[in-house]
Amino acid sequence: MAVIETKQLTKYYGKSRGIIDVDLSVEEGEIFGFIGPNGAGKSTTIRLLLALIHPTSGSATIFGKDIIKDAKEIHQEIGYLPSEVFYYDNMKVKDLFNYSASFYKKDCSQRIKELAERLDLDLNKKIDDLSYGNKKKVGIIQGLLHSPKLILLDEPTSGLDPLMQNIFFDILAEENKRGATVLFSSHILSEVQKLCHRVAIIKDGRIVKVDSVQNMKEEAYLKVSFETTQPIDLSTLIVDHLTQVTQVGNEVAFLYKGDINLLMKQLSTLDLVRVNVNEADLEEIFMHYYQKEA
Amino acid sequence: MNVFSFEFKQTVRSTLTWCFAYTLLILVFMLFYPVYATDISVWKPVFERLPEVILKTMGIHLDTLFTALGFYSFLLMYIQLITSIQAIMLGLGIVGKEVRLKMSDFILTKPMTRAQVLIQKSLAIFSHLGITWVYITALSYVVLTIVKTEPIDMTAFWLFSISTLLLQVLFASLGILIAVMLRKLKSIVGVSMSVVFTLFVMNLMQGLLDEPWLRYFSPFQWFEKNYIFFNGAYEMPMFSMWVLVCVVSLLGAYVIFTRKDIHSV
Repeated sequence: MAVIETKQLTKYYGKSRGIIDVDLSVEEGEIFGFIGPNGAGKSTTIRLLLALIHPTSGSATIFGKDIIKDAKEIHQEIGYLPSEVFYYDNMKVKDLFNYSASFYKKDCSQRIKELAERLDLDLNKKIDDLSYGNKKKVGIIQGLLHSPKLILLDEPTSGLDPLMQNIFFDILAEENKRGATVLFSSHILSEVQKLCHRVAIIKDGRIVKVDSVQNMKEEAYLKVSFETTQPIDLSTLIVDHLTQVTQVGNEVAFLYKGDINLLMKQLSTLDLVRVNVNEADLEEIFMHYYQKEA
Repeated sequence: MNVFSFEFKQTVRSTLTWCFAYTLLILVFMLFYPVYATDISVWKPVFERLPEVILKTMGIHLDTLFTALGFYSFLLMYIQLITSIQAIMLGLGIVGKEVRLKMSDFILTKPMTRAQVLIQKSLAIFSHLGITWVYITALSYVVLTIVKTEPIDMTAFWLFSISTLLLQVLFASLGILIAVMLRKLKSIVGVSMSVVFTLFVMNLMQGLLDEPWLRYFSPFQWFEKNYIFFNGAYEMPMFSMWVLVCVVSLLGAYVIFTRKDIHSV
């Protein structure tokens, strides 16, 4: 069953583009990555799903319910972590959690304790006295304390040190095992790659590709670089499907998609100093989509 | 009612501080009355020599100034100025809290409709204003009965007191409306002061210019003390203005708040 389903979801801010005709379907139990550079429309999509902003046209459902009309019911089961966290001043961490928990129809005290221990956060401190990273932890716990069925994260990892990032990812993975669906927006591809089952790439407000991380990598590109003793004329390489070609002096690098044997035959005709052939990571695939469409 | 109780608790200290200020103001000023009342023959010529414009702008009415209630009604002009500031600050502060702290996302992604959030917050605002009003009214009554030299006209007293409440509600409604219209709110005090003092200056201007139409734009003129004294009632056109502005502000706030886009900060 699709937990999130958007149909031609479109948002304009006056005349400026937010997102255009976004069709997304996120299945129950998925960790879904949403990637694109700043300003591509990631936050707009998430804010639309949360009914913080209203669609210009199109529609969307969460748990089969309308995101605007049934916002209240939907929010009962949603946990949200915004990219930047701000809180009431002059308040203790635990008081904020208790206030946050008071909105939900369940007892969250146990979960608050657990999460605070995991993330090493002192519940008795005043929020104003916390560092940026610790405030971010407050945000994480605040988003997860009611064990939501759907977790929406908008560039969640900024400000967390690598150690905390790992713990955070572990927690997300556990929530996912428990049955929670996760939608995760980011422009840091390595983290999406680490965590997500499927990803959507968004560009200039439109979805350009939705695929599983596995598939993307499989049909993916090889990252090839080599160095020759003499500068070569690249046009003599009779291989198709080269993208992102760079040539500096004797060194050449490009992405390649196609028969590896063909490529090797071609390379063997050159006077090589060094060859490197790697699977492209998501970053390069992503760049590929971005440049292809540009 | 968790938003209500949260906001209510968060505002208790501020209300106590305001009440402390009203206590000082009322006690210091009204306990001065007995001294003044014994020397009316000295004071009366002093006031009579002042130009009428000055008397008007200061809200002094010679016919009534020398009774305890008249003296109080002069003080009331300033009490009402202060309660108006308190009211608009409460309206802006509670409804605009998440805007000021850039945390609208927090409250509006909770399982609660926007209407519920607004209503509970408004209830917290009006409860605090109500408590403040009861306190001011009770204290004023007690002090007046102590210092009076002749029986107090209770109809006028109640009309005065209720006009304070009406001004509180008016300014709180304006505060709520402004709060939902703003995308950013840096200083509650700044916005509040500029609104209240603009309207208060309108009031003084009206005293100077004596243009009848100006009164419609000056809420501090809507519950004119002398009129209340002599007629035992509010002026209907002015009272209608009050109803109109409150209804439009609150309905406007509701419509805007339930429909507006919350942009990321």
